[in-house]
Amino acid sequence: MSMIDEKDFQNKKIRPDTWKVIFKFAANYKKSYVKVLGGGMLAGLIDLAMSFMTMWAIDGFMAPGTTRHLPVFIAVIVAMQAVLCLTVLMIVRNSGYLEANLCADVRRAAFRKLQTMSFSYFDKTAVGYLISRLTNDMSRITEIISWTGIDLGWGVMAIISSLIAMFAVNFKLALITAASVPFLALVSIFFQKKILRYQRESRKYNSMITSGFNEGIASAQTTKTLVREELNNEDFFTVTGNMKRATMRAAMISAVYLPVASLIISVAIGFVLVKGGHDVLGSLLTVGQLNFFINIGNMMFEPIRNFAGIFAEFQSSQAAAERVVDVLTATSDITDTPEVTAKYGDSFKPARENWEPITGDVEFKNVSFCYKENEPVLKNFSLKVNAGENIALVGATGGGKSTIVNLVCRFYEPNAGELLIDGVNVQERSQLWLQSSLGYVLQTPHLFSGTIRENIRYGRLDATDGEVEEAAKTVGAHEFIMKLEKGYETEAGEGGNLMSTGQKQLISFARAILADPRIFVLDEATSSIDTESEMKIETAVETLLKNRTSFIIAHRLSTVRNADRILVIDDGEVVEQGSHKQLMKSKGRYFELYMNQFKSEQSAKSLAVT
Amino acid sequence: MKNDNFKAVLRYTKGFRLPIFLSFLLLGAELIISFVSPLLMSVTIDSVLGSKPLGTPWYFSWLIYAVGGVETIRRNIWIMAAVIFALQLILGLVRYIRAKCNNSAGEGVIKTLRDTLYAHIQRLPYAYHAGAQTGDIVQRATNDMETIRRFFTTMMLELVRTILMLLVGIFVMFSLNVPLTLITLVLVVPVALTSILFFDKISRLTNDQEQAEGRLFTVIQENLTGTRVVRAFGRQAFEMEKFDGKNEENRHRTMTVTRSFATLWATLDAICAVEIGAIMIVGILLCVNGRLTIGEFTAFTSYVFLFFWPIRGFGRALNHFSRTLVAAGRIEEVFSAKEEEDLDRGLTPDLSGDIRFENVCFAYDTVPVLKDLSMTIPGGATVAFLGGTGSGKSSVSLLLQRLYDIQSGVITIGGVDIRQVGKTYLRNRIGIVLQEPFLYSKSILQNIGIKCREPVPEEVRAAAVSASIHDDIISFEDGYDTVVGERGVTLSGGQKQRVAIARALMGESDVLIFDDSLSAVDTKTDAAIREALSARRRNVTTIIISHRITTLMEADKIFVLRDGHVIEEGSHEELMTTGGLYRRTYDIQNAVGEEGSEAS
Repeated sequence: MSMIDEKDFQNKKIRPDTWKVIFKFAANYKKSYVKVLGGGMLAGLIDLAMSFMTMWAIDGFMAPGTTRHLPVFIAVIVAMQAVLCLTVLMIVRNSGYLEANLCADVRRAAFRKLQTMSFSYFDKTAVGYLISRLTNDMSRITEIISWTGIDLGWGVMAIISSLIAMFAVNFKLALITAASVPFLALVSIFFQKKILRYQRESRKYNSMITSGFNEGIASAQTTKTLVREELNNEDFFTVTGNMKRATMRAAMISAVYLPVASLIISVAIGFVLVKGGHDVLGSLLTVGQLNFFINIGNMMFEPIRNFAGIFAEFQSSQAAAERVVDVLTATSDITDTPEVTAKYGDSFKPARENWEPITGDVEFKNVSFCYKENEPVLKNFSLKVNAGENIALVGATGGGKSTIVNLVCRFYEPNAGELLIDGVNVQERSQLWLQSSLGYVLQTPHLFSGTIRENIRYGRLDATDGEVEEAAKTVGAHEFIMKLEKGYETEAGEGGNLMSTGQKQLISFARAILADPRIFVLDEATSSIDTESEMKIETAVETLLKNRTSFIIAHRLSTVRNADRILVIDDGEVVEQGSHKQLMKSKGRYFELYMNQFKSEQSAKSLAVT
Repeated sequence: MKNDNFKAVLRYTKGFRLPIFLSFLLLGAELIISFVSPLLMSVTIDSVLGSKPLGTPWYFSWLIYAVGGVETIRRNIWIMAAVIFALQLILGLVRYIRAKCNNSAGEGVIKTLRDTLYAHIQRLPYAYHAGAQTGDIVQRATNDMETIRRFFTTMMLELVRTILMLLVGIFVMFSLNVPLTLITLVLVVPVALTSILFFDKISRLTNDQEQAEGRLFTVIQENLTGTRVVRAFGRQAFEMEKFDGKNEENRHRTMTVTRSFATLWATLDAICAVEIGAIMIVGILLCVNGRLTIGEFTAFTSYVFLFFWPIRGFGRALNHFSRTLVAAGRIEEVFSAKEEEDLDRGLTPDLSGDIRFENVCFAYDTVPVLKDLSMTIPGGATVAFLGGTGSGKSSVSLLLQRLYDIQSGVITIGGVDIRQVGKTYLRNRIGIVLQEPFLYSKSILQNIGIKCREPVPEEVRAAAVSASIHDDIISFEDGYDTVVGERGVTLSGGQKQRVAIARALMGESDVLIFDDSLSAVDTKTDAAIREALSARRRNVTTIIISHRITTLMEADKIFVLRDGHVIEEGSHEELMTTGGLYRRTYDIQNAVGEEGSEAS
């Protein structure tokens, strides 16, 4: 249940250029921003005006005991309150509008960007982190930007106008009251920072509790077989204990902060009372004015508290903002050149009318490739595959089999050398041109939430129900799908628990077949399917693969025997190639691998002979 | 039903009732001080600075006499300032202690509830988890839990505060001025009503919005975890469209929620404005007629604000209370599932003897899996199972650990019926490696040594070497300290399986079961692991389930299952001569007779 922080984003200082990137999105909503700021200021002004109204009520009516001008008083107060209500309506609506739109826009930009990022990016950034950037981080950042406008406008206006008003009414009392401002500001910054820090800590523990429950439930079956229930409990109880401590700390710091601020204000009020009281007794000050000063101390505190809050909030969100900006400004290792995009269109708006039909010749020309610097996987690798040829790749794990097919799919690009499809360097055509003609089936099948039917249809969006079922029949998935209570309408995502890995592999197989690709890539696609079922698919697949270029990676050698050409890959090189028969005859590496499967049997037999 | 939920909420407070009660008491004290403070100002204005006789409420006058009477104060106004300061200090202390009481109670209640729920889930039987909707339970354990937490830490206090406030406020205000009190109270009703009505609507809208957001997050998550699939089919535009649909829905719903909030706040502000206006105007009229003093007027303007915040929030608090009841109901549903029994009760016999299945019948729910299965697995031997999907081979391993109970027949180990053996003991002595093993989000070292509190690195390393995963591990940047899982390194299927095998090799077992746990490992590694296993084996009964003939063939005995029956059994050589399913599978996988025999 341990949790690692993203290492690179631990910034504590507010950096304006980070926020600039996000504020650019706000440019589309300038009007709302102006309304929110302006509305906030207006509200601040009215709040102050209300203190003057109280003063007027006391000094103008109550003290002299007259009702002259009362209608004017009533008219002013009604007008002011009406404006205030409308202002509140406006600023809350606009802030909400800003938040919803900013968040949706930023999220869209990030999502779109991620659709174009190359795989090397995903290798470097764990998917779990990316998800939390697009969900929590973005919600948080846009919320801050949208709602601080109100506080900012209101606070600035409240402080400035209060100060002006105070000094206008009585200079000495104003000085006393204003003297409390720096103390309040210091105390506020100190506490707000602390509060946010502990809140952040408790948020962290909270997400650990969530993943604790997640893991506790997802691992339940494994946990039972390992009898680890009690140890799991211990781990979990530690986290909930930490959570309790962190939350308590945040709450208790708030419980100190407000009383301390109140005490500072009450000191100021005390001085005002002593000085002002004497003045009232000496008729130098009216009762209304004294009351005004007593109330304004409290009024000044709110904006100060807000400013400190805003400051602390921006500071504690700096890391989140950087994570968001990192996605927004990322650049892909693989991009189509402007010329290519002009002719072929991009991934979102393909210009299919300009696409050449793909035949499926694949050629590696002196290709070198590495995932990490100085750890080459392929060195000067060359390979020519004719359209329609079925290629099987065998060899030990880590030899480079998956890399070869990743390059064919253009998930990565060679560091040196070139990859030709139909005799043309892939970089001269768009990524989508190639990838639209691929059928790719993975060892760990990924299904989307939605029905089984929708999942198969992902291969070709305009396929009819009949075509979907035809594809399922081809791979032998139809029978088990029909046995499910809801058949093709069974939910595949969360409810996918009902299906075994082998069955999910079959569905992703059907999806690829429906796509009717020119180039097929099967990466351990049938490892969890039992042999008899696999045989059934194999005959079907054999007919399917005819006339299509295909690359098959498999550990079970029986799967690869029928390939036109088997490549034995070791350390990034083709050490042997040929048909199954040829390779068995030459008694080289393939023979060794193949015979390895029977090692024990052979030794048993030879023992029996001697 | 609602009543039961209420009882459940009450039950959660067990062990924390004293601090909760204390926090209510302190809250009352807090409110009394808050209401008395404005009176100080009122007296100062009317009797100290003005010349009105002390007409303040009787319960307040003693305070004035206690500090020396009006005359003394008039000469030393600082006394008043000191009293104000002292009151604030007391108020601060009371608040602090109250916060301590109610936070420690609230967080304590939640910690206890979280812990019991987690422990309960751990103790639920295997069958429950096999059929459970993980997301739904997690939702209950987190979101519903958070609802309850917020109730205990803030909302409960809000409710109590509003009620106490009305009691204290009415008492203080009536003793000051009746007409103004009536005005204040009359307007409490529309505020409370608006707040209650709106919050019902808003919580519904918020709920809709949260669901829309959930759907959006699912799209994001699935897109990012399935990047390869998206790219391989060139579905970026389709994904973008899918995203846009959900994103727009969420954008729209978020705005609907804030629009409601805006209306609510503006409405409440409007009522509040009417209230303030009314108090000012009526106050002026009363004062001019001599029925209200200026000091009392200032006190009332303070009370309006004291009153309004809690009453504005009353709807939210009340609404939250009903949501808490629903949340408690949902959590109680999880609690109502029955925990596994007989974990630690039962015999602890030697389990290295023969394992016998006699006429065993077993069904998942209603789907029969094993039908009258009888077989004997010799103690200390290595046996293998072959069979298609649904043949029942995995059930055999689950039954041996008593993760499920059989419907009829008997399973014995060394002559002892396993139903009499304690489950914990049984599971500790029988190791299983599942087909899709779960790795915990811990370091690899901790994962392999998961059964121990403090795994010994040397033992872990030895197990890793046997499972042929050691070389992979040291190739990672952080070696054995590499964290796996969602937020760490993603292991390949084969690597996961081998870590799980290493995990099973830690400690002593009488029986080891490999349930298709080598499917994602290449043949060479597969062979290496089996070799290492047989070197380690010391009288351990080993059961291997696989589709791969090479993995099975060196077993002492092989069982071929179909439809819950043993259809073939014997050694590799025997089964090869019989010519059944085993032979067929072998032929498919190995084309023996051509190259194979040629080579030898």
